[in-house]
Amino acid sequence: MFIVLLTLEEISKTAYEIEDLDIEAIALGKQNALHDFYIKAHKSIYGFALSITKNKFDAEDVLQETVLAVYNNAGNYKSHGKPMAWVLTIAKNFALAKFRDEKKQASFSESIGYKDIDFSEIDNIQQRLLIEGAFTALQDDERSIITLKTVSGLNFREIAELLESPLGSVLSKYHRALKKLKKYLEGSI
Amino acid sequence: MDNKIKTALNRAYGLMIPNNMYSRIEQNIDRTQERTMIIPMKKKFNNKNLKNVLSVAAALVLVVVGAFGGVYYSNNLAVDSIIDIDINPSVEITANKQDRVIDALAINEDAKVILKDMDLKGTDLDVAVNAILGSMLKNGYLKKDIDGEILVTVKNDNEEKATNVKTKILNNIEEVLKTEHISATVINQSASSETKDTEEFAKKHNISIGKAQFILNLCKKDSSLNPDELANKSIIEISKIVKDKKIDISDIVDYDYSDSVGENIAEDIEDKNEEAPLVSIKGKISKEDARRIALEDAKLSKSDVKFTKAELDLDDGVLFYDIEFRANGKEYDYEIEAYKGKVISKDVDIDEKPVVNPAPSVSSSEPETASSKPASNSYIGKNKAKQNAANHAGVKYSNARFERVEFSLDDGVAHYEVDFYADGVEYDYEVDAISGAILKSESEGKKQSTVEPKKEISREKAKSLALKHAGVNEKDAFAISIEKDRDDGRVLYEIEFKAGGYEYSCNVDAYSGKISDFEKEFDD
Repeated sequence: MFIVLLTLEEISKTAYEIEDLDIEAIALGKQNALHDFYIKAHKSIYGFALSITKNKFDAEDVLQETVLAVYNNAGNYKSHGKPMAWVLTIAKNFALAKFRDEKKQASFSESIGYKDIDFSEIDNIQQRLLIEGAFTALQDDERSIITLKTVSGLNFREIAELLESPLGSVLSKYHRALKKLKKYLEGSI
Repeated sequence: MDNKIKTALNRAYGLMIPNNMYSRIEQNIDRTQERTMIIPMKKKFNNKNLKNVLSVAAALVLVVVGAFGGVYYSNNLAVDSIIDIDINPSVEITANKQDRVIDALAINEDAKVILKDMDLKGTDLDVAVNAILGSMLKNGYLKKDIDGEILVTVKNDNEEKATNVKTKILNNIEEVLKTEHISATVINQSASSETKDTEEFAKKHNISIGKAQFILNLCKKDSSLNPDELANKSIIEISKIVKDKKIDISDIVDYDYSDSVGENIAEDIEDKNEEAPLVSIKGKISKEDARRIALEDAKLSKSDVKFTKAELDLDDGVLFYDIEFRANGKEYDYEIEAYKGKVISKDVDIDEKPVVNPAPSVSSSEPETASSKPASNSYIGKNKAKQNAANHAGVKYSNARFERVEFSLDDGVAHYEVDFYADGVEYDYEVDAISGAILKSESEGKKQSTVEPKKEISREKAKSLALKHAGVNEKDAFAISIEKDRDDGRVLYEIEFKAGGYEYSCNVDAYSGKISDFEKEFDD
């Protein structure tokens, strides 16, 4: 039936909303098209990738690989839903592959956790605490969902499709993630 | 609060991406590789509208929420009613005492379509509702000749006002429906008897609405339970009863099987409390109390600080005091829950010289957006705000990529929040909506390498740190390689070595000696 979504307005999306035209421009070889695409999409791709890989250098690799893949395959893109969903699917595959590689290598005592990520470049206390919280206090899927909701402009339905998860789960995990982050903030003050 | 979390998280992610990332990517573009060039793309028919056209029940929920008692501003921007036109699409209108629209927010995707190119600020409430209904029709959310349901819920501190507003809107809707030949059942849901019972029960036992609702629902399922007895029990005790009696609560609670019964109950109560309308604001602590609590937490005394704000505010159904003060060159921002006085959030920033917000003056009006507005107001408009911000930052308007430009009524001052990005720096501005003055400005770039040359550790030191981290003795290690790399103002030693049948690699920060990206694998 109906889904009562967030009671809050979403961040205006002019920054990261990529459109079919942006992909088309890349495919047509228009100058600066890839750069424009990068400006709009880099945060979404990186954030999503980081939420999966939990490793900055891997996330950067995923960002690079994804942008290059978009560059090489823009001509194959067929308009179907949001282009961002297409881009993030590509990113997801790269990120998962990286994450699995890491897991294989770190099969001993090294567990892949937040301690591998250095957040010290974030000056704002609240921002730093929040992102730390996202990597310490949240489960993997909760983190990916809240990250997507925050940076990608995808709606819940699209997130559910991207993560191949039921919509209801996505919704409840999202709300749970928010609550956990709030608690984390309160706890660390 | 949720919005702040989202914004903060968004920014945090942005800050972690190296500035030179794009050039790194560019360098890796293999221009000799064959890539698929354009294949003409067909514009697909928008699925969303198609779905709604096929839906039979076009449910329109209109929720009018009233003032939160003793509110904030004494001018036209005082919030009196909040109207939610909800679910498929979900729009929230904030109106003042004169039933003029202060702002209209699109809460979900469908609503964005509805509100596109519509500026409802300053319009009369009924005109706005008409416009929204018209847009819903145009976009296919309300179908002719199909039975729909329109649900109207009114919540208002002042019952009489609530009824008036609701009647007005209902008449409005009926008019529109009649002229458009849409048959709809209008369901009146204001202060239903059930809600009243819950509220009375909650008041009687001094428990929250959420808990009251849960207990009443639970007792409906099992008549052997006495709600008055349960009201005084803790959630843990209640969940024990639920478990002992094997009551299935999955139909009264959004049940999550990975959580325990008690956790599910607690979450449900929390959710309901967040959704619950504010019935009364009695029993809240005073502004003075809130200030005192904030000071205590900051370990400062009244004489040390200068208060800049102390206001009641509402976010996610939680009523709180927004307390701000300055001391020691720092700016403190507290959110104190209004009933129990708990510190919800606290933020400390380096004090930036704020520009005083001049009193709202009657300036020449400029349309908010390109489309025509029914009523004029004296806001400078988003474009002017963007220009002012860019000028102040010393950035060419055309160089700036605007990420967010939004009108905001937060803190009682009408302003635009302008966020943009130029030359690797992210700027956040608040521009007074009436005078155009810069209220707040912040810029964040990636941390550049420090001016004084920092001392680097030697390769030997880096190597021994790496070995130590791996728990390997120097004499056991072989095939050692040490490389120095400069990246984004950071200098790293990339160290690899083998020992005991394993291959190790890690990075050592040349300034701090910190180990990162430690890897250990079988030496094959």
